[in-house]
Order: sequence, then C-alpha cells, then structure tokens
Amino acid sequence: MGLDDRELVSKAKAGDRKAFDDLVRNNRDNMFALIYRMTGDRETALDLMQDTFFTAFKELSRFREDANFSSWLYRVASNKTLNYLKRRKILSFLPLARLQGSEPTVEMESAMERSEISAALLKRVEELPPKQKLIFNLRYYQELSFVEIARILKKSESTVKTNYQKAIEKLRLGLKEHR
Amino acid sequence: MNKCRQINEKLLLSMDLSRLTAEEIKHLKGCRDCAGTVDQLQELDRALSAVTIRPLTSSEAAGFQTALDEKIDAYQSRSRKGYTAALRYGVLATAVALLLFLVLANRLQLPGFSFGPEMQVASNLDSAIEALINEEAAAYSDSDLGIDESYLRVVVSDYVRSNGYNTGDMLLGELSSEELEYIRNNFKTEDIL
Repeated sequence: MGLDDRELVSKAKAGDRKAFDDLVRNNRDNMFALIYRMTGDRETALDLMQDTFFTAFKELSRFREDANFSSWLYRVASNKTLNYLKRRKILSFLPLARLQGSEPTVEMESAMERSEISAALLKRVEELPPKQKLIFNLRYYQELSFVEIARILKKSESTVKTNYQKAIEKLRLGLKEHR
Repeated sequence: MNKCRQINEKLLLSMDLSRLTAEEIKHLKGCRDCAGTVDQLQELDRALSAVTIRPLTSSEAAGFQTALDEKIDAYQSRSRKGYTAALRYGVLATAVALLLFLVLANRLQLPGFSFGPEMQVASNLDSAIEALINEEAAAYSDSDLGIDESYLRVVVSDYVRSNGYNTGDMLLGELSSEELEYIRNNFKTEDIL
C-alpha cells in the first residue's frame, strides 16, 4: 500500500466519504480483474466487487492502519468469490440451473482476445480447483508475491507455492496436449 | 535427474530464467528435458499473457459507483436510525432503573439514602397507602355494616339470663351505641326471655 492509500484509510476511518471513494477508485480495477477472471461473468464480477467494497466500508473501523489496504481488499474479494463459486457449483447440480444453462466461460471467452490456444488455456484455467485458480490469478495476473498471497489467504508460503506449481504444471500439460 | 527436478520446480514458480544459478543454466544448456520444459513454459507464458480481459468500462464504473453509493447511503441511514432509537430507549431504561433503585433504596433504608422532603417519593407513597387503609377502615366501620338482629338477640338474651333485666346500663362497652339504640327501640322483654 502506498502512502496515499494509508492516508486515505486514515481519513476514511474518520468519516471522510470522499477519501473512501478515492480508495475505491484506486483499487477498483484490480478487484474487478481478479473477480472477473475467477467468475468469468462481468455482471457477477460487478456485484461481487460492490459487495467487497461495501464490506470494506462497514468494517473499515476494524482495519488496522498499519496493514496493507489492498491486501485486505484482496482477502475480502477472494472470500466472496470463493463463496460464490461454491454456491454456483451447488446450483449447477439443480435441474433448473442446468435448464437455464449458466455457462460463465462463454461470456468470458467472448470478452477476451480469443485464439485457439487462448481458448484451450481458458478451459484449463476454468477447470482448476477454485483455491488453486485463485492463487494462480493472484500470482500470475495480479502479480502479488507469494508472501503476500500467503498473508491474504492465511496459508503458509510453501502451501501457496505448491498450489501455484500444480496450477502451472496442469496448464503446461494442457497446452502440450492441445498441440 | 535431481537437478532437472530442481530446475523444473524453480521454473514452475517463475518463468524468469535470470533467477536460475550459473550451475543450473549450465545444466539447462546440456539437458534436452529441461530445455524442453523451458520451451513449453515460455510458450505457456506467452499464451497466458495473451489472455487479456476487457477492463472496466467507464459506464460500468459509473454504474458500479452509483450502486455502491446507494448501498452505503442506505446503510448509514439505517445505522443512524438505529442509533437514535437505541439512545432513546437507553435513556428511558436508565431513568426507570434509577427510579426503581431510589424507591428500593428508600424502602430498605440504605445508608446515604435518607431523602429530604423534595425526594420523599417512597415515603409519600407509604403515607398515601396508610391514609387509604384508614379511610377504608372508617368506611367499613360497624355503623355502616348494618344491624345483625339475630346476633343482638343472642347477646341480650345471654346477658339478661345472667344479670337480670336492666336496660339502663345493659351491654355498655360491648355493643355500639347504634346497636343499643336498636335494642331499646325494637326489643321487648318477652322477645328476649
């Protein structure tokens, strides 16, 4: 967290709504990118992002100012996204959901630059277990350090590294099979 | 083989070859397996980098901000109402508790709670209750209970049998003046004996 975010958090905690809006603006794109890559659906990503910042607003008084605000946001967003994916998985077993055919990957693919390889990779990424997928996204696309990811997910650094290695290995094999 | 695994694990964590040691680079150059892994991982890296997402558009950002603001405003409004109500009930509850405590303290005559005339709520209440009891007692005095003639007959008959018939000082102190008056006016000797 830069000094700016730290100052903004301090002001927002004192009730400065404008400071909170600035915090939202500073972190919005990163949260959207993570949630969108995890869920593959823009509307869902916007909803979960809204939930994330709303929770942040409500819980801001409990946030320690010496901590990293964006890491805290990543944790909130990660928890909400993992919960959503769990619910979606349960719902996918229901007949009605199958009839309505919720297939988020389609929306995501259409939103992304598509090549044959990209499409195959996307499918592999989609197939990763949610926590592995989260670690992969946080590391590869959000470019967070393993230490930071470990802190966010409250896991050991070695667990995070092992999960990331497994994810990359699966994607590498997927790419190899595709060729 | 051990070296291959070591390099593979390192590359899986980061595809940046500059993180490898000179010894590992040397191994890499002479190992076809490791060189193949590097090629695959670099291809994967290129492919993953190509998978971009369309960033948040300005209209999506504006819609998101509006929805978030509305949610926060509603939350703050609810919180304020809740706080005001809690404050109101808190004050009321405190006042009631204080009043009950003062009454109880006075009744139990706790030290330090001997109230002055302006604070004698409980004492006044006691006086009022006492006055009410007295009034009730007065209201239900004998004079208002009516005359029980059969009772008077028994009493008078017993008296006359023991003491002779003399209505002059008869039963004084045992019956009320109304009852005596009633006896004088209504009883005859033959009625009693």
